[in-house]
Parts: sequence; C-alpha cells; structure tokens
Amino acid sequence: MDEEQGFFDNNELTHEDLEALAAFDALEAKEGKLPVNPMPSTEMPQVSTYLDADQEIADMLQLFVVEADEEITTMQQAVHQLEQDENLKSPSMNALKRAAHKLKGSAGTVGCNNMATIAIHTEALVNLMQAGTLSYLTGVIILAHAVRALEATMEGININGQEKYAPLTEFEEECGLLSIDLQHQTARRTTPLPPLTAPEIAENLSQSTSGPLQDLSSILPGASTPGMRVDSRRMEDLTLHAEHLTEQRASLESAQVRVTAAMEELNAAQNRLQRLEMLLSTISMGQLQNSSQPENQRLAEERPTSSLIARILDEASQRTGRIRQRRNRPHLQPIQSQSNELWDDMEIDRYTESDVLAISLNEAVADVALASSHLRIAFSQLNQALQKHIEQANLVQSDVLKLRSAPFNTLLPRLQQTIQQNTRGWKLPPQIEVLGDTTEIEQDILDDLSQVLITLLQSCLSNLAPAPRALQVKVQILTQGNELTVDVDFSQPVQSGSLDIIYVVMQRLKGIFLPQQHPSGNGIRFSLRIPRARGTIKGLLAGIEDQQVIIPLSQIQQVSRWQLGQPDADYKLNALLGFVRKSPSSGIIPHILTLDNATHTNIEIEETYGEVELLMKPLDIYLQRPGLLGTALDGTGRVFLVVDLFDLIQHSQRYSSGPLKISDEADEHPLLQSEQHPKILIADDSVSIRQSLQQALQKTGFEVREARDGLEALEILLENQIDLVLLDIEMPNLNGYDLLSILHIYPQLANLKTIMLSSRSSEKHQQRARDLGVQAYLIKPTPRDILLSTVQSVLYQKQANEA
Amino acid sequence: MHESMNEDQKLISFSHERLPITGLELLSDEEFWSCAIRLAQLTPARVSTTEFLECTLETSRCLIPLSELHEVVMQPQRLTLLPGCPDWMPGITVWRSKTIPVIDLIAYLTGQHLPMSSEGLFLIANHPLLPVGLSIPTIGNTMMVSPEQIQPVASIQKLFTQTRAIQGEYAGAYILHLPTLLDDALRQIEMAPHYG
Repeated sequence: MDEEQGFFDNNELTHEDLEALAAFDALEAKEGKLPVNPMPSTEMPQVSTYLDADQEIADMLQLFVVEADEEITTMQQAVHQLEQDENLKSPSMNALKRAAHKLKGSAGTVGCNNMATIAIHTEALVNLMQAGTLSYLTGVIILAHAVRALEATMEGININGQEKYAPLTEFEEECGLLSIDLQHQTARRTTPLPPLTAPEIAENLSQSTSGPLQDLSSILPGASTPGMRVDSRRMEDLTLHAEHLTEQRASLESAQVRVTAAMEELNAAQNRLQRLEMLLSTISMGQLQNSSQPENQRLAEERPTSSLIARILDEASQRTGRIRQRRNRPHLQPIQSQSNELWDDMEIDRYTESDVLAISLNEAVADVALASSHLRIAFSQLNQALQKHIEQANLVQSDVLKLRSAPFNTLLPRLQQTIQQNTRGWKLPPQIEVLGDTTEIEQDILDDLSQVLITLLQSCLSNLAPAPRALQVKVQILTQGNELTVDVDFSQPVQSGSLDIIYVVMQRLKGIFLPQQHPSGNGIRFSLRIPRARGTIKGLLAGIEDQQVIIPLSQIQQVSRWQLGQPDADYKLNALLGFVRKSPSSGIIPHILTLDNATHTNIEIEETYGEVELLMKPLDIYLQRPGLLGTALDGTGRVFLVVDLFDLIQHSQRYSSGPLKISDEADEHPLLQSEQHPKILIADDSVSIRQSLQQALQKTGFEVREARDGLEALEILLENQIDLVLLDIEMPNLNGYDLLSILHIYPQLANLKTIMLSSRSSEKHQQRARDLGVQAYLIKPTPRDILLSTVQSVLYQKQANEA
Repeated sequence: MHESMNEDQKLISFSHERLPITGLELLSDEEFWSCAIRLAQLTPARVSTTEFLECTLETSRCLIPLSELHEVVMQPQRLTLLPGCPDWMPGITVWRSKTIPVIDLIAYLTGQHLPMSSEGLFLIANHPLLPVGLSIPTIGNTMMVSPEQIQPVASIQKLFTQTRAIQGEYAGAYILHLPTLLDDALRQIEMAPHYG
C-alpha cells in the first residue's frame, strides 16, 4: 500500500474508527514495532508508519474473521438450543462458554478488544447462570443479546475492517437494565465449573476411594469398615469346596497313620535283622578261632548271599574297622551248598545252630522287604491323599480369588450413567460398545479403574459440543497374564482436561496411561494398563553386578542378546540404580530389555535368571527410593528389589546429570545440536494465533512447527527434535495440561522446554501449569517483545546456568 | 534411658555414714533416741543401673544399652544394595519378615570403611518407627553401669566423626545413646536420595 495515501482516508473515518485505530496503534506500540504514539487518542494516528505491519495484520484479520465466524455460529446454535432445553445442565451451556472463551483469546490476540470484551461478558454470564446467580430465562435473553452484539461487531470488521464500539455499548446497557453487574462478574470470570475442574475431580477421587464398596457399607447397619460385594453363587462354591477340603482331612490322617505303622513295622524288621547279624558275627568269630588258616582265608573271601546283609556288614565293618573278621561266615556255605531237594525241614536233628540262624536271617530279610513294601504302599496312599488335598486347596484358593473379583461389566451401569449425564440433550446420543466385559478383576482394582474411567469420560464429554454424527465410545478390555489393558476409543476428537489426575491414580496403581491416535485416524484412544491382582509380583530376575533385582514382566516387551533396531533411548540398569561398577564389564555379553512403552527404549542388564513370582512388600518410608516398587523375599530369605523401569528413567532424566544413557550424544544439551535454529512447536487450536506466533518467531530465526491439538503436538514432539513448545490450555483431544502430564513418560522429551500460552490468567491455572513443569506462563494476548524474550530466556536458561 | 529401665535393674543402697550400732545399752535414753531419730531419717538412695552390651569396634570399645536392642543375630550371607544410601549403609536385609536398613557401626562412627567380616554380628536396634541392623565385628560381655559411673568423655578418639551419639565413657568404653544415633541415621537414610 502506498505510504503517502495511508491505510485509510482520514476524512472517511468516524470518531469510533479513529478510536479503534488508536487502540491498534497502542497494541502495535506494545509489541515494539511502533513508537508509542504521543498524540491524544482523538487525533489521527500516524498511519504512514503501518506499512510493514499492514500485510501481516490483514492476513491475521482474514484468518481471525473465518475463525470468529465459526465461533459465533456455534454460540448462536448453543443459545438457540438453550432456549429449547430450559436446562442448566444442557451441554450447550458448556459449548457456548467454550466458544466464548476461544473467541476471547483469538480476538484479544488480533486486537479486536470489543469483541474480546463481549466474549468475556458471555463467559461470565454462563458462569452466573450455572452458579444460580442469574435466572435461566434472563440469562438466555441476555446471552442472545451478547451473540447479536458479537454479530454486529463482526459485521463492522467485515465491512470496514474495523470493529464497532456501538454493539458493545448497547450490550452493556442492556445488562445494566437487567441489573447484571458485568464488571464485578468479569473479575470473577475464572470461577471454576463444578464438573470440570481438576481439584474437584481430585477431591471426588479422594472421597470415593472405596468406590462401590461403600454400597455394602451403607447397607450394613453400623458397618464402619469397608465391605466387599460377594456373589452368592461363588460363596456357595467356596463353602462346598471348603467342606470337601475338611472331609479330606480324615483320609489324609488315615494315610499318615498307615505310613507311621509301616515305618514301625520296617523298623522292627530291621532291628531283628540287626540282632541276627550280631549273633551271626559272634558265632563266626568263635568258629574262626578254631578253623585252620587256609580254610579261614577261603571263607573270609566269600561274600554274603544277601545284598542287604552284605550292606549291613559292610557298614558295620566301616564303623569298627574289623573287616576280615565280620566277613567270615563259615556256616553259611553249607546251607548254600545244600540243594532244596536234599533238605527236609522236618529233620530236626540235622539242624545246627548255624542252620537255625540262617533260616532266621532269611526270614528277617524277607520281613524287611515286606515292611519296605508296606511302607511304599502307605507312602503312595499318603501322596495320593496329599495330592487330592492340594487340588482341593487350590480350588478353595481359586474360589477366594473369584470371590474377591468381579467382572468388568459390573462397572457398565456407572459408565453408562456418566456418559448419559454428560451428553444429555444431544440429538444423537453416543453409541457405546464394550468388548471383553466379562473379564474378572480384583474388586479393589476395579474400584480404582472405575474412578479412572469415570473421570476420563467426564473430562472428555463434559466439554464436548453435540456432534453432527453420533459419537462412538468403545471400551475394550484385554488381559495378558497379570496385566489388564482397557482401551477407551472416541470416534471423534474430544476435550479432556483432567488427565493429570488420572496419571496420579494410575501411578498409584502402578499402571500406564497412554493416549493414542484412534485406529480410524479420527478421534482418540486412551489406553490404560494395570495389574489385575496385587500382592504378588511376576517378574524377570535380572542380574546387575552381584545383585539381583526383579523387573515386572508387564514392563518388558522382549529380552534379547542383541540390540534390535535403533532405540530412541538406551540405558544401563546399574547406572539407573546408581550402583557403582566394582569390576570391569569386559567379557560380559549384556542382555537387552526392550521396554513395553510407546518409544523404543532399551535397558542393558548383565544376566537374567528366569521368571519369578514372589510376594512383594512396599518399602518403609525411610527406604523408599524413586523407581522402586518394593521388595520381594524368596524362600531363603534373600531380599530382591522390585524396580519400576519407567519411574527409574523418569527420575534419572529429571534429577541426574550423570551419563546414564549409553550413547554419548544423549548427554549433550539439545540446543547444542540445533543451536543455530532452535525448533519451536506451537500447539494451539486457533489458526490465527498459530499464524501470529509463527510470524513472530520465524522473524526472530526460530524454526516453527504447528499443531492443531494436543495429540498432534505429541506426535510431532515424538517424531521431531523440538526444543520448545508453546502450549495453549484449551485444545481438542489432549489439552495443554494433559500434554504436560504425558510428556513426563517419554524419556526423550525430558529436556523439552514448555511455555504455557493461554488466555486463562488466574493464579490457579498458572500454579497448575507450574506444577506440571512449565518453564513460563504467558497470558494472551502477549506483547511480541515479552513473548520473544521469554522464549529466549527459557531456551537458553540451562546454558546460562551452566556458564 | 532411665525411664525405660526395668524394675529388677534398680538396686537400693544406703549411706555410708557411720552410726554407733553396737553398745546401744551404754547410751543414755537421750542418746539412744537421738541415734534412733538419725537412723530413721536416713532414706535409702535409689540408684539406677543399666545393663550394657560391650561391642568391639576395631581399636575401641563401646557400650550399648541392652534395653535398646531387640536381639543379636548372625550377619546374613548377603545384603541387598539400596540405591541412594549413605556410604555407611551397606544395604538392607530382612528381619522377622521386615525389610530393615543395616548400618555399619564403625563406618558410621568413624567414617572408616573396613571390609565386613563374614563372622560379624547384627545388633537389631529398637527404633519406634523401624528396627535397624547395626553391623559390628564382635561383642563382649554385658555389664551393669549406673549413671554416676558414666564419666564425661575426656578425649574422644580422633577417628570418631559422629560424636553426638556418644553419651559418655565407662571403663575406657564409649557409651552410645542409641535413640540419638538411630534418629540421625534414619534421617540421613531418608534424605540421601534427595541430597546424595
């Protein structure tokens, strides 16, 4: 545009137009592009100096007009719906508020202050209605005025490229006539909405930790301790199996008695055999003294015919050392040499002392053999009884576990109720599909899961405007070993906002919570993974140094000797635990654990000793360490640390400056790698704000990427080396808080800097953002110089500290 | 320490003041009653004594009140390392199904790190919040010591770095005030992962 002609013909401008230009002038002066105009606002601005910014503003206005049109249309529809609903809980109320909030932010950014003010008033009016301060009828009437005022203001922008003051003034007069104190209410416009605020949800969670258990407590008169739902059929099964277990006691005791009797019988037979053996030795000794030396020698070399006797004699000889003498059994040979046909038991006269002894010895050996056989049978019967007893005990244990469990579908009524409450008034109610709802889960885990799911549904649906197509909510439950996975799919983008609360609960449950892109490409999936039962830990026994630790199997995707592919992050377990290597690791071929998380993360360990399932106990408060779930004891009294690899990695990234990662490059500050052109991601659902920020940042030399919602931002962050993210709070799919919560679980994003850029100015929001780890908080609209100085300050903060 | 003493550990003694116990028949009535009044006025002084266990710590000895100990056990074959611990804590072990920290008493008191003997002993110390295993090379006799007999420490050996827990001295052995020692040790164990 020609500089001499100026942006407008001054003679065509009204007094209002001049004031609007002055406002723009002041805004631009704040951004450092123009010197502050010393002229009074009634005088003509120095329009000739606009040239550089002209095109920029025109572009931004063009984008803003499209966006603002959409928001005003949404508000119009919402007001229309409110007129029909006559219900404070109508979803249109939130839709209206949200549209007003967005309009407030984008209008403020492009300097359309009148429109921003009307939007602020609209938001305040909704708050007044929801708080009950403003009657529903009056509220709807004045909201309709607000929308008309916005339309009129918009019309001015469309026609003249300038917003008008008149609609705002008229609207405020209208409010005055209805005795609505907008100034006062605007100051309180950040009053939280009951169903949406994180602290309230947190409070709800803390108040309802016992969940459905309260149902029983409330039923039982005087019940002060939490109860548990009990399925009567399962209780009957348990009773029956426990009775059978008791009945088996008799047969078990009987088998034990038989074993005892058999053992006594064997003992008696062995004693008799021993006595005979001693008698035989005595006789042999006497005969040996009378026998000739050659004969004695010949007999001494003979071995006993019974192996049992031989063993007894050998053992005795070892005890006494009298080997030769004890082996002399001169009278055994005649008996052996006599054939059965020559022997007649009735010929008593032929019996010698040795013969009687030999017969007795044979009988004693036979008795021992018989008693041994009886003992074997008795043992076998005892084993059978014991086996039956164990099987029955297992049945009882299984019954008890079943009794403590409940199918997932017991949660369905509460989930359906939550969905209905939050989508009331929708013309097309959401379609709900549940798969795997018969999966059995321990009741206390089910209660926690119920709270997580209800919070998730409330958070995602309460802010959602009625969709033109029916929203499909699909809940799928899968089990693998002791791990339970619950996928909650929304077929279209949703508003969340309380995911940090869910993260806290999931952390307590030792579970994982991951938002993902919906398989269809549109919408979002929230994936929850938690253990199905507590108490026992099923893990991999891993060796590091001379220690052994247990890693939950649920955290491991695979174990290998070789590194598969290029990992996003690579760690050594001993370094993560802070154990100093005592001996050089040369010669040790490490095992590589690939973690089961969203990124490809490898952990190096020295040895694996297979799977174990042990009882886990939490550590005392003095011994608690980040990354440790507790300890487990084996049968020998050894103590094993149970590690939480995800927590260990997070902790090491946050607090350790040491080279925990294997790759050296990981130790470098990201900016050292991209010092020339730091990459900044702008995550904002407003295209005009993204455009505005992009222009400002690119001019300063930053490389800029854009994301329309939180999920897209997460995907860009994971796929690119981003140094800083400028984050809006209000965004579809994942809002700014959600994204901040999620960033912690990705080790490769540990060095990412974050700046929250929001129109929410209250200390409550700023504090929440700080708690979630943002480095700075800026309030929209932010002057350009403040934006740039904050970005540079945050980006180079670490380097400055190190210097 | 005195409060926790058992009744059977409390002995009674009398003043050593000499009184004319013999030849009472030679006293006049006045003298007799005067003597009787003096005897009656003598109150027995209750002296508390505590039973201590003597522990040998390389070049020095220390005494630990038995009432502060649960039991003395053999050192387990292996300790489990715990991340982020003070260097005088060799690890954790299990005692009566409870995971407890182990303190190398010599290292804690002196800062010296000697290899732990495989024949060493653990004193399971009684702390209200968490029992603690004190690793020591060997133990000696038990002995009864009254507070009067405990002398202020004239000169603590230079090698002792932790002197707050040393209550006094008796017969050349340092008397440890275990509650102070355990409180300090547990505080350091708790804070170690945060402040190294």
